[in-house]
Amino acid sequence: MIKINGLAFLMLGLIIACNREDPEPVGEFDNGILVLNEGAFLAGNASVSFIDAEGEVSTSAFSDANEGLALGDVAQSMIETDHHFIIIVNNSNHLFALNKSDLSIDYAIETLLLPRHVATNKDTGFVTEWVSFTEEGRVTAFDLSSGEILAQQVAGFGAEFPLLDDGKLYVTNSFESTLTILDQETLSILAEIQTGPSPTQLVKTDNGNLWVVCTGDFDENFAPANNGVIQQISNDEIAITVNLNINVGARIATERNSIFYFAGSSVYEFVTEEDQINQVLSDDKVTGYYTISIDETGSIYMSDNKGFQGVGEIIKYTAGGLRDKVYSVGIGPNTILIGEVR
Amino acid sequence: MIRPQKGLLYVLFLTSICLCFAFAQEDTVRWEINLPAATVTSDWLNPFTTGNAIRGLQIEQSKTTLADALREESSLYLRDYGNQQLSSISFRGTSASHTQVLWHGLPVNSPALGQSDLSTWPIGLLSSIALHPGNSSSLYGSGAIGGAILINPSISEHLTNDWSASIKQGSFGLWNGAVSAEVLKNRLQVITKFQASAIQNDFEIRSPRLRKSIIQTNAQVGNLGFSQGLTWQRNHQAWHAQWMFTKNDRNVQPGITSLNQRNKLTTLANRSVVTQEIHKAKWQAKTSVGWMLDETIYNDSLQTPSQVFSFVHRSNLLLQEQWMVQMGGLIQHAKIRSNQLVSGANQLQWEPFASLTWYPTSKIQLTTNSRWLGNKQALRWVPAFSASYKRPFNLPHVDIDISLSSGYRYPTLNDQYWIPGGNPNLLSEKSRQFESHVSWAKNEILIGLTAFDIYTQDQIIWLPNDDNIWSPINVRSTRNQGIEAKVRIAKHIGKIQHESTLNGSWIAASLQEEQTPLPYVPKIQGNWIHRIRWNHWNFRSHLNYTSLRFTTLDGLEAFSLPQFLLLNLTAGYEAAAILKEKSFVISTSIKNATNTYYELQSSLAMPGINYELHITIK
Repeated sequence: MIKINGLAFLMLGLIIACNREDPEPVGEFDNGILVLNEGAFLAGNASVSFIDAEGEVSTSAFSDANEGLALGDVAQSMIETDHHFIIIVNNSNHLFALNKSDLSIDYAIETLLLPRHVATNKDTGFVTEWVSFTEEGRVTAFDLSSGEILAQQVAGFGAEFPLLDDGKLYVTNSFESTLTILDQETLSILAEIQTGPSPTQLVKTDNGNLWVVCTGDFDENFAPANNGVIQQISNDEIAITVNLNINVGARIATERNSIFYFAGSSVYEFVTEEDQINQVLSDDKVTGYYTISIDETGSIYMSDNKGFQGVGEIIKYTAGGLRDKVYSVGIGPNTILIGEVR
Repeated sequence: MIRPQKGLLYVLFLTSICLCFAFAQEDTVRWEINLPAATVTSDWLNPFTTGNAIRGLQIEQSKTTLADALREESSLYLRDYGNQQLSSISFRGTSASHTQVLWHGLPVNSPALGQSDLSTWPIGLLSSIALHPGNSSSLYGSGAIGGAILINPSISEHLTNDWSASIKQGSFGLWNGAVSAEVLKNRLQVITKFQASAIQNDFEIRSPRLRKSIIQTNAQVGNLGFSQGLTWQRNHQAWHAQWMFTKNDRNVQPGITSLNQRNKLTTLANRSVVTQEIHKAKWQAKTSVGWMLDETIYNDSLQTPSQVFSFVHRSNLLLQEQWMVQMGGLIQHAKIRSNQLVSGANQLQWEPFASLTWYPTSKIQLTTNSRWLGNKQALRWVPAFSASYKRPFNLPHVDIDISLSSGYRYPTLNDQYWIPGGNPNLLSEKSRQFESHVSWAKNEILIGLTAFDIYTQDQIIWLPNDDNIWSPINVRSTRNQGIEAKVRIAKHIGKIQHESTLNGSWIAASLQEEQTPLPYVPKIQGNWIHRIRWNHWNFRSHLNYTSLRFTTLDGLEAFSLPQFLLLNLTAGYEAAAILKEKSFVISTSIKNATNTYYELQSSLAMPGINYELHITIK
């Protein structure tokens, strides 16, 4: 009996062990900040910086992990999945899936056309592509484990940012101010809706609402039209439009039910539940903000592109908007992935 | 980080003095200088140059473009955007837009960009090329802050019947053909020149930034050029008319990390000029009227046509035997029609100028130049002063020159009218330069040493503004200090003639406030060219060293291009008078003999070892 009980405990332990999800790989990059640096246009000097827990910065994390290989020209975006960091390199037409433990390349897709951003579900990735400046953009679905191309679908001009929600794939078309809604399984187009001017990033707040930020366009004299908006999408329609009265940066961040955006050297918070906009910080030492990220403590991480004349900076502000730390990274930092422990 | 060497000029001054005294011990033969001849020549500018003299370049038929012809000059950095691709030139660590290019004395820099693509000038269409390093806006006008390139600066004095032809084939699908014919009848000479070239550019890229070697793709280039000239001379007058057409069709060479990019650029240039020269005993005058129609077509759709009308007149007058005066003026109007620029984007500039040279003794020349650069924004005085002292302190074979000059550059039409971001309120860039030069020449040995210090302010830089739109602003000041050295020795050893030229430069160019080095300025650059002539044979080696170049304003090695050493070798045989009075030259070249991987612009590969075969009848 004792033996049986022992065996039963052993079996139970095995069953429990087998039922648990596979643990995510833990690597040195979990404990720090990864920064994607766009590089100077046509200079082929995009890079990945890693800021470790002690604040030490390595500006060649990708090349170091891949035998000196250059990342490419105009790194556009980077996301984290269960097993990979996925990097899109726009002008090189590359997608790299990097092993999360050491940043080595697991696979690369080299047949994309001006790729922009990627969204993933459990098995599949969806990458938006501009294709060209005169043709309609598209979405390419690929196998997340191998990089095999699964399907492609034409979207609008300037297909920019994908977001998956409720079995649908939402894609902003930044050149034509529309949003294409596709079926996630078949990539068939379900609807296309008009948005504000130059829609870029889509986000989902903690309360499940879907938002799109439209950066604003230019008037007939090519001066900023100051008509950026944030819009809520509900039932595949624009439900709420919030006029920002300025043109804003293309990249935003969310914290709980707030959306953080920036313009020039100022950062703003749109509290969606209160329909209220607050200026969070303003920093006249900055040349030009380029991206934004927020950690679990509410600290705000902004990148300063320094006019692409040299390396940019990641500036960490307290939740109250005070400068905390500054890290020099690569040229044109445009994506900040913050690890779990800082 | 580079800190400008404040004592540089003192060092040069001391060096000059030491050099003078060193050579003074060697020889005491008097140096005879010539005052300007009573009858003037076609040398229009040399009597009024300040600082470094204008130096002519030998046009070699084995070259393909103007960029190729300038590649062996030190203190010049040619920023090639790939092999036979766009090539811009920088003097003394200044930017490409600080080099003024003149054709028949007329400025021909693009009014959109303020610089010239030297790869679009087929060498076979040019009669003569000269360089004038240094700040010389008072002579050449806006943009000549780093230096000037003079193409066909004067009408040829020797009209003949002549013809020549050359053909070249090389690696990576290179071929080039050029013919030239000059027919003289009753003082009227007709000059026709034609050149065509192409390259496939499918060379191997062996960049350490790639994990494997790959073949360059999408970088084919084709060049076509035609020139028709008419020259008529009678008594003291010469008239010259020239029409030059060039077409450069290229696939824009993609970077090594984006080889599947396909972009095409076509550059068309229609240049016409009519020049009159009058040569009297104590007076000469030159008047040129030019009409330049250029067009760039990007990806067969984006067209940017520009037209520039120029008029320049200069009169040189010999007053007594000790004074020379030059007076004249330039009027230039540039216009661009493009959807990318505000409608009606144009610029009118007018530039009266005057120069005075005084020879108080046979050894001393004092020169002052003044130019007033005017556009709709302002009229600015741009002066220059120089002093030349031949055989100072009775030192034989030694010349010393000291000059102080100022420079100026208007904002380009792109700077002012680009949509979006153009800034019509930009100020012009301003600069000043101090330069000293000492040379020693005896028999077949020449040694020259030049130091310069250029300060430029209100430089125009494009930066993203608060709305993330790139827009130009006057933002930075720079300081470029450096030393250029040249040694040339020619000697016969037995029946073999040797000629060795070593030139090099050391340049510290930095932002004035931040003191960080300027991008794409090699601190050290050097060329060693050795020629051997024996009987009908000709051998030539060219070794070039270019030091590390930063590519950003931080001065970080992580974003730099490494140093490189290139070796080119040429062997040729010349058979004289095989075809009437023509000589037949056949030569072969090994370029980049050490198969070095290098880049002149970040991410754009240059070819490894390659071969060329040239045949010329001249």
